[in-house]
Amino acid sequence: MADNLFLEIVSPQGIIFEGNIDQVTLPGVDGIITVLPHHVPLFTKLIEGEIEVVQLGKRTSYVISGGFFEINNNKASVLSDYAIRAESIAEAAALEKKRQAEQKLREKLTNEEFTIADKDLRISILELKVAQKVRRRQKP
Amino acid sequence: MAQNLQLLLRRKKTAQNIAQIARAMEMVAASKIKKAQSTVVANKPYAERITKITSSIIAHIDPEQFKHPYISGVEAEKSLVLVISPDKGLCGSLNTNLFKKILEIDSKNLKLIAMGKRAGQFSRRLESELIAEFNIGTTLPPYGTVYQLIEIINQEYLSGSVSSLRILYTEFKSMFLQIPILKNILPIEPPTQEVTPLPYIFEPKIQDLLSDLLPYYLEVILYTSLIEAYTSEQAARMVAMQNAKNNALDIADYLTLIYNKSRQERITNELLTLTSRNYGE
Repeated sequence: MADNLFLEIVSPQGIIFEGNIDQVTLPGVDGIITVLPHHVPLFTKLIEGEIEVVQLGKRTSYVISGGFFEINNNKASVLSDYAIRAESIAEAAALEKKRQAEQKLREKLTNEEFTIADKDLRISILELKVAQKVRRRQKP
Repeated sequence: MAQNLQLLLRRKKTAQNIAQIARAMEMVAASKIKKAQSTVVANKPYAERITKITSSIIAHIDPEQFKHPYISGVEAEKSLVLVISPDKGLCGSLNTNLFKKILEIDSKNLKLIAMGKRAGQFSRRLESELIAEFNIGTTLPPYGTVYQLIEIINQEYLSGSVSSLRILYTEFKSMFLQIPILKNILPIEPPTQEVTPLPYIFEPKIQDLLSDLLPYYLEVILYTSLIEAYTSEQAARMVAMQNAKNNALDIADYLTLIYNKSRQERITNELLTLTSRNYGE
């Protein structure tokens, strides 16, 4: 019996991650959940946050903007409208995005512009946090 | 005669210039379409999953217990149509075909949202009410574009001023075939096929999940139509420009031939005059 869990992280930008993993930690609505192989079938909502994938003892991080998680029969998938691998986060770009979003929020905005800017801001802050964490982990 | 030659030369140059511009536009469209197509492919797994999960959850929900305007619908006289078109012309019959389709819909009791300058210009001439107009831009629309559309759609739909939402856009079949289609989006029709029980534990409750899932569903559908319409535009433009380039080159060839012929004719005539004058003396 395979002891592996197959996970894929899917977003409109494509399949961000795909492969057999040992465990995954996700930001669920009711708190962080960690899923191991042979988990019961589950469908849940995710909030924005960090996904930590353990594959052959190695940890990799992804940032998502919220979405859904589904697992059935050792096949798991994360559906999110924005997902990025922590290593591919360009810190400078994230900083710039954050600065722009903050500036936009200070201006008078219509409702939809506010929603977009607010979302951008939260994602960029999260990206920065995760990117710094990943860097710290690699350094020592 | 001399004037005639100058004229021919000028016309030949014009045809060549047109061919050059058409070639440049063809190449621009060709490079844009590559990126667009890969985006469409990348978006596919996500879109498929969201629609699949949404429809299977909807099939499982008791419509009596769960009332969401996206599913149960609202009562209203008017209906809403989102038209997605290019901002620019020069893309063959794409716009014409699209607008023919608008005319097929009964234009009374219709509210329109125009995504793309061309759709906006056309819609203004109809009896229908144009409530919003956006430019689609000349680059691939980013995912964020859907948020502003959804904002307006929700305003109209949830307030009960329209009873349904349809999207009219050009579906990308292949490089040479793009068909305008009209899709019913809201209210979401429950799937008709046999439902298999869902094995999942739902966290939080299935009803709450569904109300969260529905906005995602709408976003995905809108985004998919947007990028597909964009891909169609580039494909149509590429093919149209390819034809334009070939036609212009044909004309240039033909004009070159005429020019050479008449130049030769003139030289022969001049020679004839010269030689005959010599014999005369």
